[in-house]
Amino acid sequence: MHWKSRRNLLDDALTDWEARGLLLPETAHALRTDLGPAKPRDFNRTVIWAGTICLGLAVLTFVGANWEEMPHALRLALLLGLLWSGWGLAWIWRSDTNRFEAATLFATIAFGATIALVSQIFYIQGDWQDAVFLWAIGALAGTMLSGGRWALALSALLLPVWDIARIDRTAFGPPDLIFLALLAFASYGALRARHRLSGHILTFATLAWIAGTLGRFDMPPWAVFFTYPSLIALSGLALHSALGPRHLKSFETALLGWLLGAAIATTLLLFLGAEDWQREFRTSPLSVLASIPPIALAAALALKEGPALYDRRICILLTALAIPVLALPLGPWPFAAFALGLALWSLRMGWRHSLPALPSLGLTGFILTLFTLYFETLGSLIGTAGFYLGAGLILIGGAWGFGHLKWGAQE
Amino acid sequence: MKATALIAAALLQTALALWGMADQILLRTKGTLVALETTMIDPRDLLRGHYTVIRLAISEIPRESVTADPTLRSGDPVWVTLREGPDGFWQPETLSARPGGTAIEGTLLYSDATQFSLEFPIQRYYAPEIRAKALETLRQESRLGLLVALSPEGRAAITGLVIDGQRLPDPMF
Repeated sequence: MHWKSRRNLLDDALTDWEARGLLLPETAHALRTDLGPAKPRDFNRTVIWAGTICLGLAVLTFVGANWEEMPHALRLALLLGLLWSGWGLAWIWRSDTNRFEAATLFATIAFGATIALVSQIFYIQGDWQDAVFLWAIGALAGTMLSGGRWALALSALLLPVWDIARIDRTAFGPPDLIFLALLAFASYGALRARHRLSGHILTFATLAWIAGTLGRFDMPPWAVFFTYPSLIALSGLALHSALGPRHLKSFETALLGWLLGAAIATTLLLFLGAEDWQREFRTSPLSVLASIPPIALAAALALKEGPALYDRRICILLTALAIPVLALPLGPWPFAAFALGLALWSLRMGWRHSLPALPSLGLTGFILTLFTLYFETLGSLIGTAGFYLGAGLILIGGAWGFGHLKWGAQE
Repeated sequence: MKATALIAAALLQTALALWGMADQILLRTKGTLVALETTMIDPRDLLRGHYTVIRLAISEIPRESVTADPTLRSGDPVWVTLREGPDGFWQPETLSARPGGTAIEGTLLYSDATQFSLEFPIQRYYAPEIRAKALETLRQESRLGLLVALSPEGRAAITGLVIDGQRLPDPMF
């Protein structure tokens, strides 16, 4: 286990090889030039970030306190003054990245606090979700105009907060379309600014919306037949882009992790509710047709020459296998086997392409699946014995199988 | 970074934040002021702090005390015309499907042989923690009410409290 970064590890190795005479000093110097200077963590930035969050929370709780010692007009003027000061400081500090980011973030928080204050002073009725929605729209517009990345992350965070808080929603409606439009707008901003944190938040928001929507419709079979294989097919697309054109500017590997994580989680949920799902599917067997687009996408990826061809072929195999797993009335066990398959694919793909998050995800998925299986078979000693027998056979059989499979090892 | 972009961001956020203010100021200054009896309990909002949940006495109206439009159905918007009572609190007179007179707009939840059950879009009174709790306690000993400004269309804006007949208007600013 290396506890240093890859760059520092190589730098240490170069020093060692140079000291032992394995490398000529000029060769070592050329390699160090290639390696580039060390990039120390900017502690100053972290402190500024934490300080800005504290100031923002102070403003928000000041509004919540409804402090009557100060007249309404003065409180409103104070909040507007803070909002404008934030944007003014952003202009003054425009050439200092950290301070500019802090100023735009503070202005965005002050904006939210002003919305809350106005609705408090005038007893504007409505739930806090409505205020969050207005805050998200204004924050996003301000971010797009200013280019503030921390404020973008806050805007991105407000979107799923608003979406998740709409718990009383019952059907797909205009709020969902507005949410998707805002999500697309924010994603464009994150891509333009190359901001990974915003990318993570927005990916989570998208997956949470999908899960919430499927849950709201009580998982209609056509939606499951479209969404579930799509998560796997899109993993192939993300992998292709990660090792090739990088359309998402290196966010692909993170996206790959999110997609595979969502696919494994969905498989386990289907495993737990297999009986209900299979009863539901029997009422609308034609819903299987909804899986055609994701299978076509996976097939198109598998036919294309280029990097990670082996994994793209595994991807079409898994996308296609998802259909009989969903459609055949074989109980929960095909789902469990499929979850294990996804976890192992993730683990091995991560090792093969040196994508550091995927092996951890695969291992977590594998352990989680085994635990889920364990708790499902718990209750009688014979059931538990069956579980351990199955797990042992899967692990040893898997190790034997992987030892003999050489496909893709060259990639 | 252009200064115009930052000024535009600040202007836009100011406009959005103050969006609801103009309408409320107009309603408070031009609307008809009525006092409505209510009960209050104290919970807390994530962003706006403590408030008291308002339940207006006119949310449940005995059938024999009003004249109601027979076309009204559950879920319909309803305008309750009001007349000032001897105790200073305004009482319902008619339930209509259209605005007119001094009326407050609400929604008819249901009606049965004995009463009409209604919902009104004024449900929260924001107050600091101590005062919100005090109001909750006060309702057990005193008659509480709300001062409400009504527009000709029946829209309502809270403008203050009534405690034991004494009107306590909130300062607007």
